[in-house]
Amino acid sequence: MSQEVLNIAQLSVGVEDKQILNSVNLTMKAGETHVLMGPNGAGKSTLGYALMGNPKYQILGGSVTFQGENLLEKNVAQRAQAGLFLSFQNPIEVPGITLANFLRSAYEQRGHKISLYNFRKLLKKQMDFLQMDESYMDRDLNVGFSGGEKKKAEILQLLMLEPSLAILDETDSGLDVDAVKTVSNGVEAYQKNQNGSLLIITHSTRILEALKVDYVHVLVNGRIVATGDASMIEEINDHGFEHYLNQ
Amino acid sequence: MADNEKTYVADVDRSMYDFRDESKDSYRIESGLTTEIVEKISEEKHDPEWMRQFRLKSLEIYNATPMVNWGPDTSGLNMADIVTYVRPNTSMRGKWSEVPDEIKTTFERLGIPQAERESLAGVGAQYDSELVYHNVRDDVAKQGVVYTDMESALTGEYADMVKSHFMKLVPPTDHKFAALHGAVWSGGSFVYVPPHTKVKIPLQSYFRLNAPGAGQFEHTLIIVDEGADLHFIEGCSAPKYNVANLHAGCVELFVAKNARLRYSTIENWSKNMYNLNTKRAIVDEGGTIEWVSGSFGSHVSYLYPMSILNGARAKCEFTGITFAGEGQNLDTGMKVVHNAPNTSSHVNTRSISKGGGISTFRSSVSVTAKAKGSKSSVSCQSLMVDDISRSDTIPAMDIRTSDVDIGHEATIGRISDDAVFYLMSRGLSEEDARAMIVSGFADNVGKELPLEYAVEMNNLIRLEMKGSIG
Amino acid sequence: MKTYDVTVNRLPVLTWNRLRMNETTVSQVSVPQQGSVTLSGDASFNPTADPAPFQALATGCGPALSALLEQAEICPQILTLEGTPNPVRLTFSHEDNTSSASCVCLYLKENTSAVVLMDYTAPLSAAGQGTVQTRIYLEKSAKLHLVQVQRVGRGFTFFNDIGAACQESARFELTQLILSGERSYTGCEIALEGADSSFDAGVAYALQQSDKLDMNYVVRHIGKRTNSNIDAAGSLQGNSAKLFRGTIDFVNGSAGAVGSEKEEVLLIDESCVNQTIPLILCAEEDVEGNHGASIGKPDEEVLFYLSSRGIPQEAAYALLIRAKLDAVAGRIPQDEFRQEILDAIRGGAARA
Repeated sequence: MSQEVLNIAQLSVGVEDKQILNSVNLTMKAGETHVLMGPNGAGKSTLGYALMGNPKYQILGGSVTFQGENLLEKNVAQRAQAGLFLSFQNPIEVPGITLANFLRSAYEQRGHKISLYNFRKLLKKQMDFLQMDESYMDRDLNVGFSGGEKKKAEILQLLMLEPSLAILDETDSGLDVDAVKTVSNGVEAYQKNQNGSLLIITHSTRILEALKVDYVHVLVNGRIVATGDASMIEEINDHGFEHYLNQ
Repeated sequence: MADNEKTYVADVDRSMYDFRDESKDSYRIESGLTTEIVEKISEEKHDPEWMRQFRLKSLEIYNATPMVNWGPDTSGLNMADIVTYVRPNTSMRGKWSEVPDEIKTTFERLGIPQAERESLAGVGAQYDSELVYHNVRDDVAKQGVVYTDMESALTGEYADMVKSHFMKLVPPTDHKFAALHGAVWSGGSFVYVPPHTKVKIPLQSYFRLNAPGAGQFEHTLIIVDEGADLHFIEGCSAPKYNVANLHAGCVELFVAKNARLRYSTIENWSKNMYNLNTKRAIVDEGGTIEWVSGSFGSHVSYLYPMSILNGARAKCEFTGITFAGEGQNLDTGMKVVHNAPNTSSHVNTRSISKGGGISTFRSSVSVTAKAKGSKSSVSCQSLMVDDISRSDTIPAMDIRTSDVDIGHEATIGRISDDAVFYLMSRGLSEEDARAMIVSGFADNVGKELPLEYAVEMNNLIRLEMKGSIG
Repeated sequence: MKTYDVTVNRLPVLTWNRLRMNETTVSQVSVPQQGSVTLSGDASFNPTADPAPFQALATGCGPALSALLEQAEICPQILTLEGTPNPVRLTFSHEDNTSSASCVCLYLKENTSAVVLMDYTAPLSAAGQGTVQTRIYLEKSAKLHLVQVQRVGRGFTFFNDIGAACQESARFELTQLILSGERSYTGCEIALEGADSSFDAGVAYALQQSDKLDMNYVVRHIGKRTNSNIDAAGSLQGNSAKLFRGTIDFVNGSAGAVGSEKEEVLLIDESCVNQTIPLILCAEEDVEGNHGASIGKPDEEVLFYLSSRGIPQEAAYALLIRAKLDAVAGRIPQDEFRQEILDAIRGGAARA
């Protein structure tokens, strides 16, 4: 199980003529959980968007290999179909499309064929697990969802779509304690049951408490300035990023 | 059989409407429009004398009325080339098995009898100028509901009722094509729902225009009596020919006190059709008219269902979607007249323009001095899928009393890049993501349609969106 | 005196004729004399300036009114404004029983900005006919705030007509108040030709008795990222009638353009007539257009709240009518003129 899932080499990324990421290197193996930490504005979300292929972000240099294939050659949908998942910090509201219909379409893109009945059964199971009311199934995607429900809906998608690598962007921000618990239960289930790899982008540490973390990276001013094991989380908890800022 | 069902529900495609039968009509009036032709139609149809006079009078009005100075170009429509009357080679049947095979096959491919078995209270099927099939479920007939073809209605038990309502709501003087309709109409349905009768499942008419260069001029007259309730569904299609076809139907709806009528249409005429259709409802005290209207086909459409709220507390709800693709100029909308106290209207429309198509939303909300305490809200949203198309919004409001609450909002915009990216990040192709967003945009109508129609509509949208990525 | 029928304020795209909103035919229009204009501020008319940039401009009232002015040999008076720090004020005064017209052309050079105040006056009891046509050309990055206040006699027929073109990054702000006049025809057509040019209009009116106000605003978005906003608000008392036409036209190529229109109409008396027709024409994908209209009597809760503070209904109505005018008068960028107009509103907005 030591197969390489993701290899980011010398990746530089810009947005609107401004360089955000500067020669980032990162390697992840199957089943590993990496945490990307860093102060606001360091470029953490940019890395997630760039990997997912948001057209607003330009690749200025470097390469990304995902499961042995050149990720940067693929369009957004192909990246998702290949098993990459990005949980959005601010999930977009899409009026007129129900969560269930949306997810079933996405699910079938992964090559599964499933009857509507079985799909809803499966969906309900995961919703129960995430303590989401069943009625959200038939509500328009993210429209009028509270912040917590939006985040749960993102984790629901994670569990349904079973990616090989999930990037969670500030999934715990703006959530109360119970919601953080539910969300991290969901992430844990993904980690355990699906042997999924995780890249968790966060500037807080709440969601990490229940998770087994293999590596921690600190991103400052578009560069990874430190990499270590899970013990770094506690260290950052106590001392913040100050110590890294002057490097 | 299971495969057939799937074909109907899930895999409707455009080619399904494009098949055509060999034109084996038994009787075909020569092209053009003259007194002789109108007389011939009248004779052929064994009109009562008043109807013969009515037709001739309408023809005079037609000849004296100019074309409108607004709206899409109709110069491609030459009346001298349009065949006004095509009688199919059969008489009207009450049993599906007796309908001639080639016509039966046409409708079966469109899923008509199957839908009847599953979810309809009654079905009428018109092929070119005449109804070829008409049937009402026994339990509905026992309720006293009358659903018959217009020709039988004209001479049958309800002849007086028909005479006193026929083209009273849409007089031939209304506009040029109303006059044309008055002169050459044929086919269509008559529905009467007796007082306090609730028809639980919908009645449906399906119109199929098969003959090339022909016109279809069916007349639909529905009277929903006091406290009664009806849902009527109308479907239209035609195969594509290279010559212009004309549809100038007329729908007159009478909604009595506290009655409710829902009138749903999915129009998918082929793209050589000039669809100049007139629909109008008059609603009495406490009554409700609900229009659900999907316009997908036709080369040119002029379609503005009108509601006259003539009794206190009468209501109108209008939900519409128009999708104008390549080569289409669809001028659609609605009109409402608030002519009694405390009436209300609620309008929600969407239009989509793509591939050089032109869609125009045109409406008028009139509130007369009699309509104190009335409310109206109109919301129209337009979506531009590319920059070679066109979308215009032309809503008029005329308010003649102060005690009203009138709201209007219109927006125009494009598919959000963020939404496309979001859906693609979940593995949908760009084409599917855009189609899905457009389907979502059309959901105001989808929600109001019976399931099988909503599915058909979504498939139409999906087809229209195919190949939209350059 | 010979009079004519003049057809003005035609919609760019027509609809049902029976609504009588497509255009308006004004009866008994006489051929006007050259009107008198008093000019104050750091500017003077330039009789040798080139009229060419103004001749091609379409105006909101349309060609028939321009033809009338031509027939009457009304000569255009050109003001070339080059960075005038103080507002320029133009007073168009009208006498009882006269028919006069003026045509003023405003030219703003690149990077200049100006405030122009136009005051249309006449004794309140006077009757007659007046016309002011304003043609405007804004060069690159020029900024104009034009204020027009119509406070002519209660028996006046008045045409207030504007045609303007804005080049790259030019900004045109328009503030219009229609305080009196028996028959008022307001036309305004703006061509946002240059990229990033913008138009922002605030319009308010208070009609009473049998006043008629007939408006036609057309904004052509031609350049990329052009921006327009029209806010029209007013009140109708007595048998007065108002017709608002507002068109946002996104021409193909106007990518990134945003246009919005908002109309609020307060219907005070039962027999007033309100007509509204807001058009959005669109031949470009990447644009945002919206229109909102809210038409009705004063809000019951607001009236209740005001009366619970001891304000009688009539006074509450007067307050609400005035509020619409005050909000737009508040846009006037010169203190003195703004105060003068706010005072005039206070004097005139009480129910007649």
